[in-house]
Amino acid sequence: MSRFTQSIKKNSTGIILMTFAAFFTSLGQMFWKLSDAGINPSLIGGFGFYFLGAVLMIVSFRFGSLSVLHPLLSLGYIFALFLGVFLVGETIEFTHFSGIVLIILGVVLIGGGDD
Amino acid sequence: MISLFLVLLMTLFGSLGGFFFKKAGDYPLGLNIPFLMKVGTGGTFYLAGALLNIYLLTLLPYTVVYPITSVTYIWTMLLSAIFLHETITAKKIIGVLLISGGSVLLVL
Repeated sequence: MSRFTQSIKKNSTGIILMTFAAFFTSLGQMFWKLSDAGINPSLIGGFGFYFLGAVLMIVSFRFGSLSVLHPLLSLGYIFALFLGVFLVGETIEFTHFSGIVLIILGVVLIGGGDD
Repeated sequence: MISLFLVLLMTLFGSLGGFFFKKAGDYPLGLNIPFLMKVGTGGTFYLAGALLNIYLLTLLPYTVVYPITSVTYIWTMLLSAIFLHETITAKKIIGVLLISGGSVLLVL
């Protein structure tokens, strides 16, 4: 087995859990955005989702390296983009697609980049 | 200038949060003092980072704060190497750079 697939296999449970953590973190940040930094239900809801993301992150770290799993939270940036498009009706342009491709490439490299 | 300092602090706090959450994994999951101490420390850093993030959004445009958040993972690589003795491979470094570059593209 190559070192790349070994790294993915070694961290697989952590990678799956961290993907869910990233989703909930991005939901939390979306609600903070909607809150406009005021004390309101969106801010509190945002903390709820952010907290859930943190819990999943804590569990995830039990199943892999910190230097692999922590950067995978950046998958949340991609979730955030889709949440923004879906809820606000923004359009995705070519640069955004390029950004998504770069982030996914980065995540794949890190996931397969453990020693 | 103050914004730059706050950005570095916010990303460091986010990274320290993750670090202590990882350290919590040395202890069983649940209601035991060492586990709760690590989670509490990580949670405090994580919350401080989150509050700084919200505050920074009032000082700087969203389009700046958003991609800059990926600086967190540069701190994480340093903490992982120094305190957890994890190997920082070329793949990991290139991966973080790609993520940062991709984040910039997302807000253009």
